[in-house]
Amino acid sequence: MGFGIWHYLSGYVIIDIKGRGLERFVNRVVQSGGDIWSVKRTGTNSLRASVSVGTFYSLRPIVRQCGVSISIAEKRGLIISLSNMRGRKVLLYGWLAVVALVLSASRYIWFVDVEGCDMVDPQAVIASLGDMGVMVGSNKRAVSTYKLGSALMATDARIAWAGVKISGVVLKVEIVEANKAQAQSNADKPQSLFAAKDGIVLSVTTIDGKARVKAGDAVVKDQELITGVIRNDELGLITTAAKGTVMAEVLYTYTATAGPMIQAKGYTGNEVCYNQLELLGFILEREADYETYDEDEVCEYVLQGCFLPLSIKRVIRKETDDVRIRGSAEALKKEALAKAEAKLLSLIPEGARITSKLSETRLDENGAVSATIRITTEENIAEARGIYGND
Amino acid sequence: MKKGKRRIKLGMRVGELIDIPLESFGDTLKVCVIADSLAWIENYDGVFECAENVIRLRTGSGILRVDGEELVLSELRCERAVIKGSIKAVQFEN
Repeated sequence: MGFGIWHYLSGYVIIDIKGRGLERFVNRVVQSGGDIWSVKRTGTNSLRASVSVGTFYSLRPIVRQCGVSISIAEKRGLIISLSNMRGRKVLLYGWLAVVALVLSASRYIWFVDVEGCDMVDPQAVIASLGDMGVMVGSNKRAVSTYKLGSALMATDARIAWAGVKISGVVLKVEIVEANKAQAQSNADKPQSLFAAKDGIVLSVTTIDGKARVKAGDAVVKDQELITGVIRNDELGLITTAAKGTVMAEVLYTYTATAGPMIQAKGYTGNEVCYNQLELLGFILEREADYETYDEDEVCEYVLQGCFLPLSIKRVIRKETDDVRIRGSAEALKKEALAKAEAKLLSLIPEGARITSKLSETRLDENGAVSATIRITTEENIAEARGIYGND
Repeated sequence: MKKGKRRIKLGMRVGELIDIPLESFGDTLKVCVIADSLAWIENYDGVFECAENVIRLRTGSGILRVDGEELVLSELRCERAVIKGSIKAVQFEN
């Protein structure tokens, strides 16, 4: 295989040899040290062979001696291709320009890819990189990936580890986020944990400090859960940064009202009938007559006996508008429940686990419907504050 | 016996005793056939006949005949020839 590549790079010709004494010709070429290969009989008195360019120029005396005639069937090789392109300087310079452009562009960063972000905003990470002078268009050599990782970790307490590497023209940033307990552990000043909400304690996990509540206790908002003040027999009172989690059952309740009038879609009475053409799945659309409308199909005609699948539909277009109407009990109930649920879900934090949900509705005197939803969740209610509750 | 041939015969005997490849002595012909598509011939003397169905080479041991279909002398050097194609038979014509 390497032999063939070498022949291509140095260039060769395929020649047709005619006459008698063809074998003698081949032997003379080989004995003279010429480069000849792919010798094949093509007729009674003809052979086809490939010879290198240098060998071809030295064939004349051998041709005379053997009494054969040779003709060039084909020229191949890089040298041949390049000499054919002698007059095409723009093509050559164009290729050189493209190669130079690609080589110079590959020295810069063109993409920034951030992975592993859940709580941390990837755009914030990219902005932090920008503040450090690393952005799209920066020179790759000017970027110190090791120092960038450490610098990114210092920008956000939620980042436990950050790794930066350059892959081609892409700057890849890998983020490992800290969980809440780790985020708490970053604190070095004395602190205590207090309840962010009312609830019933399910479990207390104390990493540092002293727990003031136990499982089963009912706690109210701002009550101390894990204190950072510890009594020591030798040293007296010592303070520490309290760390841990307090899982509690929290109840969320919200009441929403809907009605008696609701916004609904109604028909204005304006309508228009037209024919809609459909061919091969493509529908010829009619321009919109109204801002908002509904369409109903009245009937359909399918063209029979034709090789084209053409159908015509008779469609009635009715104008619609939002109107306020007296809602039915069902519609009002649905709307009130949806409002209450949306509000409650916005109050419940992301890490909370919903354990139960109860909803009830009530019809008011004025015709409105009130819906009350109670959701019970299990979540960590511990919140770090100053050692005595001051922030 | 000529001196040259006597030396070669002695050399071959010594070579056999000490396991040296025989083709390294003088012009000993070596034929390698790989599958039915490639024949590698070393220490040949020249091309005797080149046709599509038969290629004959001159060697020190006589005429080497290779029969087959679509035979091509894909490589030709002073000391080595390679025949490619569909090889049916390799035989010596003495």
